[in-house]
Amino acid sequence: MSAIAWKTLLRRPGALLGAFLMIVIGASLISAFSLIRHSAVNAEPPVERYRAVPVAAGGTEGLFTPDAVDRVRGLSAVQEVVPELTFTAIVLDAGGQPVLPLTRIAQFGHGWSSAKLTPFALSAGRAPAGDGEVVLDRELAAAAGVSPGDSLGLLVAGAKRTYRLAGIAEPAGSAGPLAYQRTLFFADEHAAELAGRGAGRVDGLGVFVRAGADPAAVAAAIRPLLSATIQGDAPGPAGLPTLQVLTGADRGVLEGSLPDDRATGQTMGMLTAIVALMAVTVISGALITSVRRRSRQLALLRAVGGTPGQIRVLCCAEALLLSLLGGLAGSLVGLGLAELLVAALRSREVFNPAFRVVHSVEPLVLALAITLVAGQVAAWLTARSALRIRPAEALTNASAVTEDTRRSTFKIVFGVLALAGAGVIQVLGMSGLMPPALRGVYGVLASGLVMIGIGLVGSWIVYGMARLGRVPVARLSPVGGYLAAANVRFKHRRYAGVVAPLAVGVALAGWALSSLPLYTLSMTEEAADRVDADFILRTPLVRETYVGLSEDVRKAAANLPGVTTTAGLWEAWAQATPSRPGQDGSLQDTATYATIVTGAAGDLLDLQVRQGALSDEGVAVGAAYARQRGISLGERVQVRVSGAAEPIELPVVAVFALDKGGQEGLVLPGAALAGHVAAPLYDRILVRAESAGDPALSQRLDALAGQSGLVKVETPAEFRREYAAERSAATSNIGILAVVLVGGFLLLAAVIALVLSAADRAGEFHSFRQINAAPRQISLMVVWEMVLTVVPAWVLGVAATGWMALLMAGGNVEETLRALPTGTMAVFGAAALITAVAGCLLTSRTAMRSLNRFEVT
Amino acid sequence: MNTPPSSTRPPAAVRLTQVSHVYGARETAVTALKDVTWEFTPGTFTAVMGPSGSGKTTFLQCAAGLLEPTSGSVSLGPHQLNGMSEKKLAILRRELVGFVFQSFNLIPALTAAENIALPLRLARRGVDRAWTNELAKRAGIADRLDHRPHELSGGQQQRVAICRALITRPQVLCADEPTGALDKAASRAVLSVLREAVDDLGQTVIMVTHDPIAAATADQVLFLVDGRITDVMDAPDPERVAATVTRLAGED
Repeated sequence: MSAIAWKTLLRRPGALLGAFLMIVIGASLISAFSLIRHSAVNAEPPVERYRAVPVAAGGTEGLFTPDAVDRVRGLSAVQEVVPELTFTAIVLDAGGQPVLPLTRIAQFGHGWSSAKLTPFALSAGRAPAGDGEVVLDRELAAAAGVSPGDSLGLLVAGAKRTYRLAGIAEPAGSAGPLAYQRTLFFADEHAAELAGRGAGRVDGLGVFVRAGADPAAVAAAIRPLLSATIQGDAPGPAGLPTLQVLTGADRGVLEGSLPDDRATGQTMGMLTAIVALMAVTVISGALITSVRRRSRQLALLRAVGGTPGQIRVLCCAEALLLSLLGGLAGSLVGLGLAELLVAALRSREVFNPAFRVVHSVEPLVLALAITLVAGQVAAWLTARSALRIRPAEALTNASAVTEDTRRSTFKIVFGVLALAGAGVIQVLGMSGLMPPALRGVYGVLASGLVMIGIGLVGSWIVYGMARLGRVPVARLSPVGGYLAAANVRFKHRRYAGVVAPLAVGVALAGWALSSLPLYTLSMTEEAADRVDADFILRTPLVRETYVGLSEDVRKAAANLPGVTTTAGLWEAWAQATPSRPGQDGSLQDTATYATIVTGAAGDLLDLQVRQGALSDEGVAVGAAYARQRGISLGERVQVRVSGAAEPIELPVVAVFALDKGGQEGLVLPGAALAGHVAAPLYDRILVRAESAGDPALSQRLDALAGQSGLVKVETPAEFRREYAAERSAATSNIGILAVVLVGGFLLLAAVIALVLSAADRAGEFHSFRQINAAPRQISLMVVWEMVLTVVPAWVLGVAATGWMALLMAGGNVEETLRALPTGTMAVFGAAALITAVAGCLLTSRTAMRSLNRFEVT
Repeated sequence: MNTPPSSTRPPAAVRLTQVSHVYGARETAVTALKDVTWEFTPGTFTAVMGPSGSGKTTFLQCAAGLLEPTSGSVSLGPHQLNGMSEKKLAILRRELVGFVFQSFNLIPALTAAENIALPLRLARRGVDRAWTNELAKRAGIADRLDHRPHELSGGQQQRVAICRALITRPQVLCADEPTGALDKAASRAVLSVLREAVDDLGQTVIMVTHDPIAAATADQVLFLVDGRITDVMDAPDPERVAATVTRLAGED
């Protein structure tokens, strides 16, 4: 039977080229996306600063106490432990502006004693000493145009300071300069002061091992030692673990010089799943069309004695051949596509400059496997539909299969259920009520359900639209439009194959683009709602972390005339457990984002406190989080904070409402954490003035901030606006990814449309020609068919987007309309329509030309 | 053999003068028609018979203006077709020629009534509902007008196709094996529709067929062998037609 499959394939190469092409495109997209995902998950930032040290330990800022360092020193295989501090220090030019763009490359300050980790050696001048000296690497010194003895400005710990350049350092040996970070060295004591970790804490450890010792074994011995020092740790639900001890190529992660692409990897994983899902429908559609086109051949086979089983085998064998060849070709094309995509995304700073495609067999095998499975599923469906046609009907040209009403009712009901389910999942996901296990995948679930839903009701919608549009379209175009409306209505199931991917494509792009402004809007609203201050001091967000403001800045602000109270805020993962027996405190899912406040929290935060009052004596718990954890006012709770040495027992002094459904469920007094975690820099400082909006105070605060423009002094209104812009700039990358993805799919869908209308219709065109329809009239019909297909699909996609946006905006129509990416969606719709029309005209012309030849011979 | 033109009679519906047609070139050249001259009188039913490869279909296509002959001239009523542009030809065909094919070529998405009215729509003329109903009634499909082709039998589909060919009141109706795909009863129904179109509406019909019984429905039968008209039979009956076919096949 597979011999017959080969022959049928070879006899109709043109008809099958479309299906083959679809498979190649689908497989190449899957392989490219999964290759990028694989690369992102397995991305290894280059080892630069830790070149010389075989074992490195790191984690959250200031994780390691002097005691922890001593414990590691005590291991027999350890020769030397070099403590390291890493903090952002930005070199400023004479005008007080950064000499290097902040987002382009990291600028890290360290203590001079940690220079041996690379090792850095002085190429000019001398080592830094005291509070006023700094050593720069050669590249920074060149960028700033300074030489030893010159003075220069730095922005560090939220303040602008002036230093004297003591010397210039560069990595020893032939390894060359560090590519992805710039380095500043301060005298050790001054570095500790600038980093402000407190109590001798450091950010990392470089461990030199004794000759003959195995670094991996040493790392394994260090891990439990260090874990024991953070008994009170609360790991976050995602991202980097609190503590890592790494060797070899893994050490690069700890340098923190490149943004972590693993989160992007997870997003890519989600996108890959969506792409795979779409590819399966697209590939199935193409295969089904290619076989349906030959339903008469199959009927003939049955008429001459082929059993249904043999027909099924034939379909499967054909699908296997096609999907195997197409899958192999597509996987290989995917290799190149991945490189192109990564290059494009890297240039848009979605990926860090060191990001490379990691070649691996796994994604290619995955693409091939998905293609083969899609092929077999399609073959099964095809065989089923081919067998539904009775041979006699197929042979007498009456191949229209009428679907019984029970089946179509079933389809519509399930389609609507799937769409409603998607909505419910999306709402649950956004309101934080999703079970933790599903939190990461609800987007995939929702889009999967939307796809299934549109797939099920799509043909019905196309039918309805064509039926509604028939009269107006026929009036507009009495021949082409009239015939197109009749065709689309009659063969609505065929056109539904185009509608589903198109609509989902538009909806995906729409969600990606509209959810971003709505998401940042809601985030900003909540962040701003929680703040009740007259002025807010902030540093710029560099790669999703704040450069930070020190306690010194807060104290200085507090001492300004006209200031009544201040508060310094930072955030960390934390967890609270009632101090009752039998409570498990180590569950990862119970972590929440805590705001840690030093200063007058009660005066400067407006959390809509329901019970009690904020105070330095205890912890304030969000109402939703308290409900989740069974915590009530007045009782004592064990609080764990990322990197804390021990759990901290505190009384619950307040329950507040604004906790984002338990996602930002704790407010902790900074004083209570002292000694348990490093004293970090503040993300922002809130200031209460004697008179609100006092312009004189505003000027004094500006002066305090150094007028560099890097520390911003904002009124609440400015904060609201700036914060939204900052957050959307930091998160827009995924939007770009989604658009890239959807663009690919729109093209795919357009290609399906071409394939569908190509060879399939030679017979139909023949009929039209024989009743003397002019070629122009046939072309016009084809164009109108595309209009009647693409426009409903687009409308469907826009409607889905609008619905989702409305849900996200909490029913606020005005915000929904503002967030809808109408321009982009219009461009997408127009592009799809133009591609589909152009492609269909091309293929129908070709079909008609071959027809003319056929007539003559 | 040929009927001489006469000034007293109305002009011919279709006239072929010394028409030859060659497919391909040089070594692969096949001559399908050789120097054929013939005139179709308006309001007559002519059947064209001949063995496979005798040039029947080529003859019909030349007569209908579907195919430009290699040499010779064709006129449809007063219109000389030679050298006419493809666009003009298409418009002329649309106005003057109706087609019926073995494979009915109905548009599956349209109902019987819509299929019948389609040529008027293509020509951007108003749909003549009364004429449609009249034709459908004559063809015995008046109760099937709202059905789509796949809901009709083969005979019914062919009768729809004939109505569609007649809707424009063409100068000539060309039928290529119209009963080729039908059983006896359906064939009879289709042939009687064609016959009535000639008798009642004064339609000129040219029909290519293999079937002596079908040919016997016509007023006149032309026999083609190797691209030439070798016999003409007036007032045919099935036995005589069959005998001639057998004789010609034997000579071949």
